[in-house]
Amino acid sequence: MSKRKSKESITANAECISQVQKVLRERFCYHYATGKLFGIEHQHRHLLELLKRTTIHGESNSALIIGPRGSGKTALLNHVLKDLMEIKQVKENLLEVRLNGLLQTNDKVALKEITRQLRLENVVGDKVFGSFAENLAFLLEALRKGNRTSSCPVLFILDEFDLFVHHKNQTLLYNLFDISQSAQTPVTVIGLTCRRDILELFEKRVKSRFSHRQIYVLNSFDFKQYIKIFKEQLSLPADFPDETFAQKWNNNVQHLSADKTVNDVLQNLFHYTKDLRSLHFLLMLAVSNVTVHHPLITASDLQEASKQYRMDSKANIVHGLSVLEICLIIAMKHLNDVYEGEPFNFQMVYNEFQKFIQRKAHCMYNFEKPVVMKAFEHLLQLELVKPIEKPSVRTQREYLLMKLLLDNTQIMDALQAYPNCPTDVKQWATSSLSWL
Amino acid sequence: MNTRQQTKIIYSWYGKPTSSDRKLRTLQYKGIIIKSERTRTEKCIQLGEFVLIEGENADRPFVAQLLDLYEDGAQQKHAVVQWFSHITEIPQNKRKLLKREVSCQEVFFDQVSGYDNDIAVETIIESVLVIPLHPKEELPITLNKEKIFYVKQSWDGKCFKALSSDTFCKLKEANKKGDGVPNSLNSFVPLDIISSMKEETKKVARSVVKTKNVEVEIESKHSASKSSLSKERHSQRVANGTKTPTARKKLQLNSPTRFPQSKLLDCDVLELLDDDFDSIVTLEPSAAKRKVKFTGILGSPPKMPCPDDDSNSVGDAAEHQQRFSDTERLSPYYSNVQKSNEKAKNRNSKDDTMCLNGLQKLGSLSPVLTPRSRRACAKKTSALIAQQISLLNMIESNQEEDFLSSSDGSYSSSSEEEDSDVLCSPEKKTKASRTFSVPKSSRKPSVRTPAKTPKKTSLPGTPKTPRNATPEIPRRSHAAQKPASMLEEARLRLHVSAIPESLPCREEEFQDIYNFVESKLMDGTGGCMYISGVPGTGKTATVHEVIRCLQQAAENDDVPAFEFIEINGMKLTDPHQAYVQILELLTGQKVTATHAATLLAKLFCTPGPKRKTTVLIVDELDLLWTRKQNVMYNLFDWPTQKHSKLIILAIANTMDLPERIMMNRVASRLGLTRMSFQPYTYKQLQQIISSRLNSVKAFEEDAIQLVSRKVAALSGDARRCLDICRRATEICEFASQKNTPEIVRMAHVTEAIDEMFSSPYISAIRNASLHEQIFLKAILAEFRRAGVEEATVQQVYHQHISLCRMEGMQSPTVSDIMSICSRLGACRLLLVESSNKYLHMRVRLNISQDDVMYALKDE
Repeated sequence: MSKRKSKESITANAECISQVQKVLRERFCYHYATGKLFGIEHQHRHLLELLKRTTIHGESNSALIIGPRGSGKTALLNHVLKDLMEIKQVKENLLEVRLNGLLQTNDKVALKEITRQLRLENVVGDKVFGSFAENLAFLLEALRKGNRTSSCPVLFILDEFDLFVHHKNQTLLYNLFDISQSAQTPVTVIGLTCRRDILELFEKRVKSRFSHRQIYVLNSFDFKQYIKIFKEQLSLPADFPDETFAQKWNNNVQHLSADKTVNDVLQNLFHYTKDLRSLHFLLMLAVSNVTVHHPLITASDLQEASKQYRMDSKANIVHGLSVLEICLIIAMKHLNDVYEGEPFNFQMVYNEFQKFIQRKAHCMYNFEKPVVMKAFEHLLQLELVKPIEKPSVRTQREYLLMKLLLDNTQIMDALQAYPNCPTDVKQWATSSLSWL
Repeated sequence: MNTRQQTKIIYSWYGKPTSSDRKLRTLQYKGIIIKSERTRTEKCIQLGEFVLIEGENADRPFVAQLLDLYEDGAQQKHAVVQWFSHITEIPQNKRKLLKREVSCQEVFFDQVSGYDNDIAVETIIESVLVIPLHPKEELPITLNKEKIFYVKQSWDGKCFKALSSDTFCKLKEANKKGDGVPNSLNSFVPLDIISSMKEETKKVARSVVKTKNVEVEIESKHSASKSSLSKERHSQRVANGTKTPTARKKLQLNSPTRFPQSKLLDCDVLELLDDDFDSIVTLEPSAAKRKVKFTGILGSPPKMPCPDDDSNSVGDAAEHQQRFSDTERLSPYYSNVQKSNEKAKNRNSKDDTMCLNGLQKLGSLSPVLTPRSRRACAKKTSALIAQQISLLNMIESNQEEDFLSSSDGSYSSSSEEEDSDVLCSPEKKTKASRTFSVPKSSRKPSVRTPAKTPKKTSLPGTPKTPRNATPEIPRRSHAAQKPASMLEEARLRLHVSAIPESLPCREEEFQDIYNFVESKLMDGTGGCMYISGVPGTGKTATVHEVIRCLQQAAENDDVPAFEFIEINGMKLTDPHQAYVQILELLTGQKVTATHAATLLAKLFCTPGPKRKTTVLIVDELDLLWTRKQNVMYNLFDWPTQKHSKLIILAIANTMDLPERIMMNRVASRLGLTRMSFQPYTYKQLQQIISSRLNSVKAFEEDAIQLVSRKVAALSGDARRCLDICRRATEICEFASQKNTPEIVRMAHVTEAIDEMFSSPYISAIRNASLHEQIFLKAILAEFRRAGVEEATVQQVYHQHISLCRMEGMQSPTVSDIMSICSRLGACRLLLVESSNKYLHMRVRLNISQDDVMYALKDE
C-alpha cells in the first residue's frame, strides 16, 4: 500500500470508525431499546397478548416477569411495549405508570408518583395533596369510578417488585391487585423481579388476588446460540453508510466467531455467566480498542478485554503494596494457617514478622514498631484486613482482633506477579518453615 | 353539630312539673328553656311547638313537633316528638310518587313507624313554624325561609297521603298557639307571666333590650353575609379589616356615603334609630303597653310583604352594619329591597320585641312620626350606638376562639347562599336559606371582626371544589372490543371481576347472613356478626349479595330502609382512618380521626333523632388492630348501645381472630354470632365454573374437573380456579392459532396448572451457567464435609477450585466467585449475608439439597 493511498483511506476510515463505535456503543449501552431478543420469543408473545387484551378488551390482569439479573426482563417489556405502540388503537388508549422499588420506597411516595403519572393532580387544581390517607382515598376513588368498557386502561409497571412487598401491610399491592380483580378501571399490573421466592413473600390476601401469571425469563440458550448472539451483536447493520467497510467488518466478525482463541474466551465467559450484559461489556472493551490504525477487532483484543474484565480486584490491590505490607500479609497468612482461620491481632502479626526479620535480617531492614503499625493500618484502610468487631475505646489498637480478607491462592498469585520481590520473602511466603 | 358542641347551651325545664308518674319515676313538664351562654339568649319552647332537631348533618336539621317533655329517673331530659320529613329524607325512588315539585320549605307529616320518637332534649336547636295547608293550596310566598315550613301531606314510608282532618286541626291549633304570640316571641315573655308577675316581666324586658341589640346585629350581619356579591364584599372587608369596628361605624355614619341611594338610607337610619330608642324607653315602664303592640302585630299578616315594611327594613339594615354591601352593591335597587325585606321578616319571626315594636310603629305611623327635633334624637342615637358597640365588642371577643371550630358545612352553605343570591331569583333564595339556624347565625358575626378577617380571606380563597372533586381516569378514545370468539367470551365470564347472576354453593351462608341482618333491621336494633374464611372463599361477595338483596327488599318495602357503608382495613392507611371514612360515608363530612371518633360516638350513642339503621361492612378486620384496640372496641361497642341502630358485619381470614388478637372486652362485645366460610370443595368449584360459563361451551367437562380438583387440593381458592381457567383459554388460543374453533381440553389445563404451580427453582438451576452450577455443587460438597448447612464463601471457594480441577476447567478468581454468589443470592437460590464480609460471608441454600441434586443430576 503506497503512502498516499493509505492517507486517503485513513480519512475515510476515521469517519467509519466513529460510526462503528457509535452504532455498537448504542447497542451495548441501551441494549433493551435497540437490540434484539434472544430465546424469549414465547414470553414475548405471551406478554404481548396479555397487554393487547388489556388495552383492546379492557381486561384487567396481573403478571410477574421473573428472571435473574441481566436476563432481559426490562428488555422484554420494552420490546412488547414498542410493538404494542405500533397499533394505533393501543397507542391512544394506554396509560402507563412506571414505578421502581428503589425510588418509591414507601407507599406514600408511590401513591404520589402514581397520581403524578396519571396526571390526576391537575384535576384537582392547585390543591396540594394532604395526608397519605387522603391520597389513597383519592386514588382509589378515581380508579373505582371507571369501568371496563369506557375507561382508559392503566398499565402499572413495578420495577424491582420485591421491594414493594416490604411496604407496610402491602397496602399498595393489595389495592392494585384488588382493582385488577374487580369491575373497576381496567388495570394491568406487571412486576419485574429477580427473586424466585416472590410468591412466598406475598401476604395471603394479596397472594389470592394475584393472578399467578409468572413469565420466566431464563437464559436458556446453549453455547452455539451464544456464538450466534455474539455475531449478531457485533455485526454492523445493513443500512451502515459505508458498505464496503461494513462488509469487511462483518467478514471479520464471521472470521472471529470461528477463531479458536475467541471461542475459548467466549466459552470462558459463557461458563462464568450467561448474562448478556457481561457479553456486552466485554465487547465494549474490545470495540473501544478499535482505532484508525487498528480498524478491525482481533482475537487478541478480545482476549485482552476478557483479561481486563475478569481481573481479581483484591489481587490487583496487592500488586501495589510495599514490601513491608506484603510481609505483613504473609505473616497473616501463616497465622491463618497455624490457627486455622482464627482471628489475629496486630501484636501477633508483628511477632511473626519479627521472627522472620531475626532469621533473615540481612535482606530486610528492621522497621520500628510504629512504622509497622502504620503499614498495618494502611492494609486496614484498603480493607485487606477487617476488624471482626467495632473498635472500642477499651481495647488498644494492637490487640484488636482482625481477619484477613484474602485467600492463600490470591496471595500467592499476587506474589508471583509482584515486581522486584526479594527472594527471601518469596521463600518465606511459600513455607513458614523455610527459614529454619 | 360540631359547632353546637362547643357552644355551651344550658337546657332547663320551664315551670314546675305538671304531672309525674311514680312508677316510671318520670316528671313531665310543659316547656323547656334553652339558654345559650354565648349570646346570652334564653328561649322557652312549650309543648306543641315545632322545633328543629339536630341531625347527622349539621346543615340539615330535622323538623318535629314537641309532644311531650319529661325527665326520667336518671335525671335525663327527654322529649317525645312527632317527626316531619323533609323531601331530602325521602328515598330517591319514592319522591317521584309525589308527581310535583316540592319546595324545600315543604315538609311531610311523618308516619313512618321505624323512627324512634323519644329523643334527648339536648338535640333541640330552636323553634320554627309549621303551617298546615290544604293539598290544593299554593305555598304562600314568604320571605322568612328558614323558620317556616309548610305541611300538606303525610308520608308513611310507602306513599303520600293528604293530611287527615284530625291532624290538620291539631296542627292548626298548635300553630295558633304558637302564632298567638308571634312565633317564639312567647319564649321570652310568655303571656301568662306577663299578666301574673309584672315585676319579673320588667326584668325580662330589660334583658330583652340587651339581647335585642346583639341579636339584631347578628341578624343583619348574617343577612349581609348572605346577600351580596361575595367577592366584592370580601375585598371590602379586607380593606376595612384594619380598622376597629368602632371607627368603622363612626366613619360610615358620619361621612356622606358615596352613593345617593345610601344617603337616603342614612337619614332613614336616624329616623329609625330615634324610633327604636323611643320604643325602648316607652316600653320599659309598662308591660301592658307592649301587650297592645303584640296585638298590633297580630293584626298585620306576618308573611305578606308590604311596601312600608320595605323602606323600614332597608333603613334598619343600614342602621346595622349592612352598609358595606348596601353602599357598594352593584345589583339593582329592587333586589336590595327584597333582601332587606327578607331580613326584616327574619327578625319578625325571631323573638325580638323591641325590633318588632319599632318596625311596627314605623311601618304604620311613619308619615305622622317624629315630632322631636332631629338634633336631640341624633344625640341619643349616638349614645345608643356606642352602647351597642361596646356590647358587640365584648361578644365578639368571646366568639373569637370559636371561630376556628365552625364547620366546613357552614361555609359551604354560605357560599351556596352567596351564589344563589347573586342571581336574585326567588326560587333560588328559598333553596339557599334552608340551612339557617340560630346557633350558626349567632356565630356568623365573628366573621366581621378585624382579627378574623385574614382567616376569612383564606377560607374562600381555597376553592371548595377540590374536596369534592371526584377525579376520573380519562376515557378511552376507542371503544373496548366486544368478545369475538367463544373463548374470549368465556374468558370474560371467567374473570374474577365479572359479576355472576347468582352465587352458587354459598346458599346456606347467604341465608344465615340475610336472616341475621333482616331480623336486626326489623327490630331496629344493632348487632355484630363475624365472618371468617381463607381468601377467595366468597366472603365479601356473599355479603355484598346479601346487601344487594336487602336493598331490593327495602325498595319493595319488605324491610325498613337502611343505609349501607363499607370500609376495608387494607384500604386504610391507619386503623384510625376507619372513623374518618365511616363519618364521610355517613354524612359527607371530612374531619380528623379523633374528631370523627367523637362525632360518631355521639351519633351512635345519644338517643337519636330519627335515623335509619346503618349496615356497616368491615372488611379485613384484622388490620384495624391497634395496640390499645380502641378502634375495634368502638366499632363493636356502638352496636350494643341502645339507640345505635348499627349492624356490623366484620370480615377477616382467621377463624380464631377474636381469641387470638382481641382483648377480652373487645371479643366479648363482638359477641358469638360467627360464621366461617369453608374452602370450596372440588364439586363446588366445578359448579362455580360451570355456572359462570353458563351456556358457553368452551371447556371440556373433564378439564373443569381437573382444575377444580387441583385447586381444591391446594387451597380451595375460587380466584385461583378462575385464573387457571382463564389462562387455559389463552393457551388453547395460542395452540389453535387457526380460526378453527377449539374448546379447552385437558392438555391446555395441565399446561396452565404447570405454569402456575411449577417450582421455579429447578428450571432456574438448570438454566444457570456452568460455574454457577459448580458453585452449587461446591456448596453441597462443603455441607457434606462440614456436616453443617452453612458455610463461608472461602470454604466453598476451595471446594469450587478442587471441583474445577477435577473437571479440568480453568478455575475462577475470587472476584468471579463473589459475583456468582451474589447473583445466586439475588435469585434467592442462596441466602447470603450482607456482602461486606467478603470471603467470610456465610451462605445457605434456600432450597432443599435434594432439589439441587435432582436439578444438577439430569444434565
